[in-house]
Formats: sequence, structure tokens, C-alpha cells
Amino acid sequence: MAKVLLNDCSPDASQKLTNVLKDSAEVIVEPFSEQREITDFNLVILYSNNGDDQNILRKIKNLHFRTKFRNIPILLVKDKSEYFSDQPYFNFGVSEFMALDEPEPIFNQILQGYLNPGRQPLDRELIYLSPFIESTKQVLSKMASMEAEFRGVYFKNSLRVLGDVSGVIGLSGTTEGTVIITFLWNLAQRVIANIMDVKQNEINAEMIHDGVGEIINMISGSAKKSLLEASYDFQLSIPTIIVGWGHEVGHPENATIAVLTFDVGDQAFVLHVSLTQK
Amino acid sequence: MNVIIADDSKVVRSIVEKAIKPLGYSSFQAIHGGEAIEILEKMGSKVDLILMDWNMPIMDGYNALVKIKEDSRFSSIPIIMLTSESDDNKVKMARDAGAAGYVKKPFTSDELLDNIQRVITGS
Repeated sequence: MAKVLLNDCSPDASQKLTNVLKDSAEVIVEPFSEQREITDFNLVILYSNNGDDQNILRKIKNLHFRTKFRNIPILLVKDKSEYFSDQPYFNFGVSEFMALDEPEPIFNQILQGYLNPGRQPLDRELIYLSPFIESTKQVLSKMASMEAEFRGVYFKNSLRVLGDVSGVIGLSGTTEGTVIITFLWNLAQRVIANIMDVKQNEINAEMIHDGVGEIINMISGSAKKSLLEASYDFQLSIPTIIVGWGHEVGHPENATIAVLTFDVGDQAFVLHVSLTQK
Repeated sequence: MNVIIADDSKVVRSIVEKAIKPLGYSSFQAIHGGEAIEILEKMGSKVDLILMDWNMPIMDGYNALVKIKEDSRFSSIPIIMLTSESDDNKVKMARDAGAAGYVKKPFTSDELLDNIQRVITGS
């Protein structure tokens, strides 16, 4: 059975959400806590009906941080539908904004939709995803002496980067696309420190930018040989770096965006792969 | 031994420098192929080895390799390509252009040093 976490819900919100979800999910109602382990939940719903946007955004970012990049949608629920700019919420990691006064069938349908497990990769997708999984593990192992454990793959429609630092590489040729590795700052610092064989506190921002660029370069370059054998032919661009939370990156139209999640000890990072063959 | 390390990544230049330092090698760093050639112009035959990345801005490693091998003053200096380009066509291109070795990233220090040793001793 699916598990849903309701955070900070008012009694009315809690009752309505529990009624909708109780037949299809185990519902746990709690106040928001920064330490709560949430990776075993399928959905997290944060209720907020006050105007303290900075506090809400902080909570959303913290929730996203604790999903460890897994496919755990975060819904933000308010009492009433009203016009407001929802973009900051999406940039911080919210999957959907919902209001309790929305028509019940629509409200129920949207909620149930988030409980459906995502699709599994198709065989033809595994052909191009597997080399990236292997090369990612190999780069971390060989360069940083760190074991990256592949946790799973899911798919999404937009290439929104929710992390502190990302390395982006473009692929062009008969296959085109984008590959992005995204870290939270602390793990990026740990990885680059291991690669350079220095202490973590000796790693500055410039080294992280440079190192993350080199990591995505190596991952894409190493995967290239296997991909060529599978008829995916491309040239690599020079990597670029994105610093900051909530950027949307361009990707080929109609391309599938695969999200590959990896754990390194109790921390996580993510690789987005979006490829299309001309 | 004087070694030029040409790579646009400071992190890579640093780990390569660290790897070869225990062997007593002195390193000179370039951030693209053109800079590697500038260092060569200054040092001439004092350079014993060049470690060259492939994908670099301004002048990539392959173009630098071709230019150096076409210049009779420098053509005998061994060049090891040190690159994330893993496909066999690129390896062949580099070999055909005169590269003495090809180390694929990611690499361990041991793999790098083995390759350097092989090129230096001609084995």
C-alpha cells in the first residue's frame, strides 16, 4: 500500500485529505519536521494557509532535500483557489499546487494520480540508460574512491534542476540530447575532495564547478563507447555548470527525460538523461 | 623529466600533477592546446612528455597534437592523450596523428603511471 505523509495540516485539511486517500494509502499526519525520514513515502503533502512564503519555500526545499532525489511528489495544499504566482513553489520542488475548495472529483483524481507508480523503463530505454549508470558508478569509484549505488529510474516531462550544483553536457550528432549531474553542495564538496585527495574544507566553489564539469564530462565520455555500439552517435560539448536551486534546462522536444538516482552512503545525487535519435 | 599537462580542468591538472610528482617529474600546466604549444615554444627540447586532454576550448587536444607532430622541432616529444573520449575511432585518430599513448578518463593514478612508464621506456 502506498504511504502518504501529511505535514502541518489543519483539522479540516487533514480530514478531507485522509478521506480521499484512506482506501488507497496509509496516511500519516504530522507537523513538519526537518529531521523526518521521508524516502519510504510515495507522496508528501504540505499544507499552508498563511502568507509566510519564505517559511513555506524553506520547508519545500527541505522536503525535497530529504527525498534524496527519489520520485516522491511534494504537493502544496491551501484552503482556497486564488490567483498567485506559483512559479517560486515549482522552482523549490513542488510538483503541484492544490486548493481544498477545488471541485471534489478533480481534487480526488489529481491526488490519486500521484499515487500511481511511475512506469518502468522500456527495453530500448535501458539500452541507452545502462551505459550511463555504469559509467557514473565507475567515475565515482575510480576518481573519488566512492561507491555510488544506483537506486532507480523514473521519468518526467521537464528538465528542472533541483540541487545546488549541476554539470550539464550537450550531445549533438545523429543522437542529440542533454545529460546533467546534480549534487547538493556538501556531497559535491566531498566528491571533489576525494578526487583531489585533500580535506573537504579545502574545496572552494571554483574547484566544485570545475570538478563537477569534469565528472559529467567523464560520465558522458565513458558511456559513449557503449552507446556508439548501440547506434547512438554523438559529439560531446564542453560542460557547463549551473549553480543554484530550481533551474529549467532546455532539452530536445518530445525527448524522454530519465532521472537516475544514486546514493553515496546516506547522501544522494541524480543524473538526468534526455536523448533522442534524429 | 619535464611534463606539460594540458587540460582545461584545474582539478584534473592537479590530480595528474600529484600522481607524477613522486617520480620527480616537473610539470607545466596549460589550459588548452594553444597554451601547451606556447610552453613548447619557450622550453623546446627540454620538454620530455605531454599529457593532453582532447576536449578543451580555444584549441582542442587533437588539433594541438597534429600541430606538434607536424613541427619537426617538437615531433619527437611523446604525447599521451588523456581524455574522456572513449570510442575507438578517437583512439585511432589520435594514434594515426602520432599520439604515443591514450589514457581514458576516468583513470587511477596507477593506470596513468603505467601508461607513462610504457611510453617513456618504449615498451
